[in-house]
Parts: sequence; C-alpha cells; structure tokens
Amino acid sequence: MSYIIKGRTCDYEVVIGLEVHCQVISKAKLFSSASAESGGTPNDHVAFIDAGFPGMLPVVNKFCVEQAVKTGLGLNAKINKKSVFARKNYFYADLPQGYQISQYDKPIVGEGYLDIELEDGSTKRIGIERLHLEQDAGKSIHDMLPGKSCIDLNRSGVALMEIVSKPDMSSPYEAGAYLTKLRSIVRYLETCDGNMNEGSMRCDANVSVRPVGSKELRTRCEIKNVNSIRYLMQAIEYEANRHVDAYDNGEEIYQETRLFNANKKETRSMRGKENANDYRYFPDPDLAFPLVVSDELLEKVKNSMPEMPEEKAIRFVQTYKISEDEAKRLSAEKTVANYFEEAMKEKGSDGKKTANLILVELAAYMSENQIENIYELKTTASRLGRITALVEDGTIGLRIAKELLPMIEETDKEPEAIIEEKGLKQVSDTGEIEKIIDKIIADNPKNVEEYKAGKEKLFGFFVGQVMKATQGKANPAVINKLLKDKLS
Amino acid sequence: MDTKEINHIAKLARLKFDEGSVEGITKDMNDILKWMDILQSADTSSVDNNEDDAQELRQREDVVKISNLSEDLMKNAPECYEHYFTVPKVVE
Repeated sequence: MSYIIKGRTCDYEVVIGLEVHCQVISKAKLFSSASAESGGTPNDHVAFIDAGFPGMLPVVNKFCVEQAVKTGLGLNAKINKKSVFARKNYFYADLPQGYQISQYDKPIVGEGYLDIELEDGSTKRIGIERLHLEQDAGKSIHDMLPGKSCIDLNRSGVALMEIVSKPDMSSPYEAGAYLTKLRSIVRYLETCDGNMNEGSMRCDANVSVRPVGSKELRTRCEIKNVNSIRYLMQAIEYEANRHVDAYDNGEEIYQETRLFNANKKETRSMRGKENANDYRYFPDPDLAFPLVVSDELLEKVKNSMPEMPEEKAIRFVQTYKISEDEAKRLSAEKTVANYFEEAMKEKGSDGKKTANLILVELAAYMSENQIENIYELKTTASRLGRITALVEDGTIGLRIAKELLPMIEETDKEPEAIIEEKGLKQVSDTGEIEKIIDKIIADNPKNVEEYKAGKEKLFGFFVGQVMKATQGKANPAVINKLLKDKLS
Repeated sequence: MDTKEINHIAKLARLKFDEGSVEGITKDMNDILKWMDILQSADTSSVDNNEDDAQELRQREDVVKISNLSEDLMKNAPECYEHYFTVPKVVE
C-alpha cells in the first residue's frame, strides 16, 4: 500500500531515513571506567575524562566494541576490521570536552539491512548505511534555577551506537515498523534496552518528498529526538505535508533541524545548526591507532548470537503447533516470547490457547492499562500456562479462562484458588445440564418451532441461553450433544 | 585563508578578536599553512606505511573503577548548585 500525498499539481511520495541512537548496555563508559548506569546522584558517575579535564587519555572499552559488533551482525552488516575514532567539534555546556568522540569516515560497522513487515503482510527490506560508536553527552536541566542551566555529566561518555538507515522508507507506517524492528533486534541481542521514554533509544528522522515516480532526492529536514514510535509517525506525517504545502505554494524547503511538538503534533524550526562540515571532524590524536576487530573477537561474537525473532517464530510453529502469524507476533518482542515459552513449560498447557490469551486478552489488558512489560502482569507465565492446562483437561471452559485473567490482575490470587472460591468449574454433569435445557425449551416454544422448521441459526441462541443460565460453566461439548438430541 | 574564513573559524571556536587584530592573525595563519605545505612536500615514498604493521588501539575491560569523584570535580568549577555544575541559561 503506497503512501501518497496529493499536491495541487502532482502527487508526492515521501522519502524517509532514520538515525537512531542506542545507548549500549555496558558496566562502564566508552572511554572511562566510570559507571554507565543511568540515574543516581548527579555527577557521581563521572571520571575526570568525562568532565573534560586536561591531561587525560581515553581508552576504549572492549565490551562496548563487542556490543557494536554484535549489533552489526544482528543487522546483517559488514563488520569493518579497522575503524577510526574522530572528533566532532561543537560547543555546548553538557559537552565539556568541546568535542564528541565519534566515528566519521571509518565506522566500525558498514552496510547491512533489516526486513520489516508491511500492512498487507508483505516484507520490505530497509538498508542500513552504517553503525558507529560514539560518546553520549551530559544532561542539561533548564528549569531548576532561574537564569541558569544545571549540568549533570553522569551520561557524559556513555557509549552510543548511532545506526543510520538508507532513505528507504516511504511512509510513516514503514518508519514505525523499522524502529519497532530495530528495537526488537537490540533487545534480543541485549546490546541496548530500547526504552525510548527513558532516552536509552533516541530517533532523528530525515524527511523529504518528491513527485511520484521521480528518483530525485529533494531537500530534507531533520526532525530531532522524537521519543516514541507513535510520535515519530505523527512527526513524519506533519513534516511531509508541510513540504507538499510549501511546494504547492511555490515556496522553498530549507535544509534545517526541526523539533516535534507532541501536543500540537507539529514540527518547528530549531535555531539553524551549523552545517555538517562545520563540525570539523578529524581523527582523534588521543586515539590515533585504528580500532581493530580481530578474527577471534568476530568468531566469539558470532558464536554468542542468540536466536533471533525470525528463527524463533519458525521454531514456535514447529514446537507448539501455533500458526505462523501467531508465532511471528509472539516472537516480535523478546519478553513476550520468553513469557510464552515459560507458560508452555506448565504441564498440560496448550500452545494455541496460550498464544490466543496472550495476543488477544492480555494484549488488550496491557494496552488499556498502559503496561509495557508483560512480566509486570499478575497473570504470570506459570499461572497462564496452568489456566490453559485447566481448559485442556476440561476443568474450566475457555470463556471462564478469559474471565479469570482480570480477576487475577485484581486479586493476585492463584487461578485454582479463584476457581474454587467462585465455583467456576465447568459443569459436565449431563443430568444438571439436561434440566436447564428442558426449562429453556419449555420457555421458548416459538424458537423451538422455527428451529425445527429449518432455521438452524437458532441453535446458537439455545447454546447461549444454556451458557447464560450456567454462568458460562457448562461444558460446550455436552451442551451441543444434549441440545441436538432434545431438539431433533 | 582570508579574513572572512578567520572570522568564521573564530566564531565556531567561540573566540573574539579585536577588529584590528584580524588581519595580523590571518597573516599568521597563512604563514603556518605555508609551513604545512613545506612538510607536505617532503618525499615519504620510501617510508614504510604498511597498515598491517601499524599498532592498534589499546582496549580495556568493562569494569567500573571510578566513583564519588564529584567533590573533586566540583573544586575547579566556577559555579555549582547542589551536585550540579551551573552555567548561564542555555535555552530561553
């Protein structure tokens, strides 16, 4: 499905490239042995080098290099055996060195790709231009003291991976799918926690438009620091339409950096940043030798690669007899995939039912209550697995299973305890169900007549009545059999 | 380099020159660049520049060794508040 914006003189398509900054999961910072942990007392996790003190020499953290290589492999990318650190020069209060140590013309990871799924279920390959290692800056707090900005350097020097895509995306949806996939990959690899609202994953979008069918690349604008996937999609939509309006009115688009305002759902111009070559990149003389990724390291990282979402989905289909679509949706997020497998460890649990309860019932509950991590639910994996086992052995019906979930969330009780307490066990006793059926048949003579006359749809009505009378506890198989006998 | 370029670089480096001194600095910079040209013209074709023999970047283990330096860090700061460095307000 292509995303087209109608202009006055022609239709436009959108060209999007994303730059994503991922904070590397490591104990210490990229070039110092201060803690990379976020939060804590301000300026507590700061080595002299992170504060830009003179006479200090940066030494690169081996593990951060490994994490970058691992992420590169996860993105099917070329790992560069030799890369070089460069200084990117600019002045800002939270960058005490006056330059950021980054990588410029020789990044550690070169071209790669990832595959996203489009709305129609087809797959699109999005190119990765590069991944490079660099330092994060500190944090400025502007609203604590009048007339002053307060600087906390705890984040200064923490390792970042900047992952740059090719301008291969052509709709807000594709950009959202790319970012979702990238986040899933880094979470699977445990190289970044991917939490956008905490700033450990940050995204800038480059957006331009062009007449449909043309191959030109028009002037692009960079939208900074969009801190959720939803905002990213909204920001791109606004920005693309702004470009089309400008071209419609014969105006020009200037290359600039813009900020997204989530309340107004619009972008506005930031004060013009210096042009790219004004960063005056040059190889960092403190890190003059090339960063070498040895064959041993590459081999070690290759051997440590975990099972990735696509492989996991294939295994889920084979092992748990669920559909391909269910398997894909379960494995998209590592936490959900782990939760599912834990539930399946319970004796007698059923794959199909467990998948369904996770993807439909629990997913709806989580989105209503804004719960991000499935492990925060009171319905633990073990409890869910046991519930589906109880459905399988006929102790409870599927409808009761669904109703149990909100009760567990509310009370934090074991499913077996709630079933006992509320008397939710499935009734399979034919005698009891028979009595109820007889009463329903007696109470609805008109429906019985119509059913017997051939209106078979009414069968569902009778099943519903029995379910209602038994509060959903009657065994559907027993109801069906008895009803068929009685109504024939 | 002309005075325009000097002024641009000075701006990027947050340096402020008196009007009168820009010309002198431009001349100095050009003299320095001339020296660089002389260095560039040296014949280095016989120097072994095989990258394989070059040294590689030293790396360290991922271990946290430094903490609670904040008092030492703050000692030299012109202004602090609680545990923060403070600077003139950066944004409006």
